[in-house]
Amino acid sequence: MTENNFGRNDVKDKDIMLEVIGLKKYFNVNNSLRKSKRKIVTAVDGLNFFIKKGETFGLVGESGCGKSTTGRTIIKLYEPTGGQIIFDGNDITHLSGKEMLPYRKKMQMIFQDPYASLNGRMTVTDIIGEGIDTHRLYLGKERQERIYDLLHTVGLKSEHANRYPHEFSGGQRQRIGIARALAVEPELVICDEPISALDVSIQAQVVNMLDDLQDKMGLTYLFIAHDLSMVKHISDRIGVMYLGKMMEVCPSDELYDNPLHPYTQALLSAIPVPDPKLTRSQKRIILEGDVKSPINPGEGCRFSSRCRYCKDICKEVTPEIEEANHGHYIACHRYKEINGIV
Amino acid sequence: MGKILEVNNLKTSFFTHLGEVQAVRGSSFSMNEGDILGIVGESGSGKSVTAMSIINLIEDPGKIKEGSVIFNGKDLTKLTESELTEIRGSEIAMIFQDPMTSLNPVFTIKNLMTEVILRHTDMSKKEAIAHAIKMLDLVGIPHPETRINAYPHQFSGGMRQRVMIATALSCDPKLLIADEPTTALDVTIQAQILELLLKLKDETNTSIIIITHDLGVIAEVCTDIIVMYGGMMMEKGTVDEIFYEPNHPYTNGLHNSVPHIVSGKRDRLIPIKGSPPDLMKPPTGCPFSPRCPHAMQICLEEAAPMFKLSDTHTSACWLLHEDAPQVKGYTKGGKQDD
Ligand SMILES: Nc1ncnc2c1ncn2[C@@H]1O[C@H](COP(=O)(O)OP(=O)(O)OP(=O)(O)O)[C@@H](O)[C@H]1O
Ligand SMILES: Nc1ncnc2c1ncn2[C@@H]1O[C@H](COP(=O)(O)OP(=O)(O)OP(=O)(O)O)[C@@H](O)[C@H]1O
Ligand SMILES: [Mg+2]
Ligand SMILES: [Mg+2]
Repeated sequence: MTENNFGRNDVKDKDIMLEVIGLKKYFNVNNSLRKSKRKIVTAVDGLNFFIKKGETFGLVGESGCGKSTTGRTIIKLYEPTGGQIIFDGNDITHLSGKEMLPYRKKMQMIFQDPYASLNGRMTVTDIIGEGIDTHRLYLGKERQERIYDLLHTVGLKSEHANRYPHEFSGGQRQRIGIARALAVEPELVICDEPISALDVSIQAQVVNMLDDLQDKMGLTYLFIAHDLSMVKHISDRIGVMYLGKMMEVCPSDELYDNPLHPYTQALLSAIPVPDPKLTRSQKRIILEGDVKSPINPGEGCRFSSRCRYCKDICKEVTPEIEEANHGHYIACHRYKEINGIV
Repeated sequence: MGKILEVNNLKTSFFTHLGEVQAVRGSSFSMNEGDILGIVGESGSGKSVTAMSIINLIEDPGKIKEGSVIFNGKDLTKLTESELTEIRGSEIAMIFQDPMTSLNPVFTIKNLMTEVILRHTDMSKKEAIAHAIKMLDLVGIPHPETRINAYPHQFSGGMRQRVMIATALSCDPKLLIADEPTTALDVTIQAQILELLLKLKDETNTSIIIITHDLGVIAEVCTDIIVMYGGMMMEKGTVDEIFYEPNHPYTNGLHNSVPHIVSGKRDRLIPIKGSPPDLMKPPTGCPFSPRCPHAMQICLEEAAPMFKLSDTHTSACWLLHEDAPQVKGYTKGGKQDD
């Protein structure tokens, strides 16, 4: 256990749903036999965080920073390259497919892409019923009732049950994905951009629905998104990722009132405001510079290539994450100077 | 400013084994060169089908039943498939909502992009590759000269969308149709892409149709807005009209369900109640009436015509009729537009 464990020592073990310690997931993008030529995408590179039972932990960050990979590695769709995944006190990092089965019921994922994630040859009933059958939860008439129930829970109708995914719009498909995840009565739901493909009135409904389901079923959420206004709305704590690393972690109000990392500050300023006059007068931090390549990124702060406060040390030394205020963690060499903290 | 696009009474349906899905039910609008038109609306309201109908890409069991789409003087609904192929990708480019299925997974980004460029320009293979790298750089793909050799599945959702945009812009289109172009992107990249689209418009006077559900995006880039619901146009106006003088209960509902970034308290959002209509059995009257807080008897019986509020602003709501009861926030007596 390192000292950089985000206030983990303040929380009792039994209150923790999920803990991730030094989690790594690397991808080989070309399998050259010569080691020096090998290219490795460090999609997730040493993440530490924990989620309390019944809590919503928001994970935000740049496209390609490794949010989905984090989610997929946690449910072991990907084999982790390093680190540990601890679910409700059990280390599941190295469990075999068969040993994972009970955990697959307890951990469900709602996928980012409502198009690719539903099997086009299956009806809605088959899609939602699959998990129910795998885990032998309901049979016959009860099973059908349960499926109608789930459809109503997510705001669809019974008559949708025998249709195929391609007959639905994006938003409707996402609801089918949510119903599928809820079908097996999970404890932890990893929501990978569950609302980003939906329009606003439906987003509000889905967010309220996820909220209510959490109250009713005591669910724990890992909520992955890039819409910061919605993440702020739904999350208790938020982690900001950049190229496989955690930049800042803190309670969600604190993140908005007092962002310390230059990347978080840029993110917040880039949120489009639904007010044309305000937008026209607003000053934005438009990030300059290239995103560092995730292939062999080397040493140094991963945000340094786009950071307007970048100094030599930022390019040379990877900043360790440290506690700035109680429960507010940040990985930046210069956050004190930048924010005038003495 | 010349008129570039005119859509008249467009009706598109899907004839499925369960019956006819009336996805677009009589849309009419026009665009001038350099306009950025935003189409917003409920999931399933027919935004994508409208876009696909414009470039006549409706596949079986779908069909454009009625109406015309006049682009640059030609009615696109009347052209042959080969004439359409000529126009698509060069004069009209489209960025789809779904970057994974629209990028063929067996080809590299280089194959995919150069194929489009070679088909629509007279560049050599070498020039096409250089141009593709330049476009990838423009949309913010790091190390484009190496990453151009990657396959789509090796890119994240957001990066795939940027590849789509780079491809669409590579042939310098007159009209760009972008279906949810930034939905999968995080905000710093979205801010760049929106800037990119605005720059493109300024430099080349390209007209752009943006389909999105993000009112923030609309506020930032659009000159004009169409609000759709249940396959019909509910309200149409300039960006300021739709944001500051909305005259349709659905538009108001949209504004109310946007989360506000305020610190401290966690207000519950106010979604529009109920769910969108089943387009297989669309309501007889106004499609929004089952969810509308102001619905009157006539709303259930007959869809409202477009009432005119200004030269640019129209709204399909019976509250605007001179005999309707006065409801706060709704301007009455607008002339009927036909
Ligand atoms: N199967 C794979 N093979 C190779 N590289 C991959 C694979 N899956 C993801 N990557 C790479 O890992 C990095 C992280 O991808 P990931 O999909 O986790 O990002 P993300 O944060 O979810 O982004 P987005 O917001 O765009 O969905 C990216 O650089 C991506 O190209
Ligand atoms: N191939 C198809 N077969 C049957 N119905 C279809 C087909 N494609 C679309 N539809 C129906 O047409 C209607 C309009 O769909 P469309 O994709 O245009 O919605 P949208 O406004 O783009 O929604 P979203 O915001 O969710 O993308 C929907 O009710 C949808 O179910
Ligand atoms: Mg993702
Ligand atoms: Mg669509």
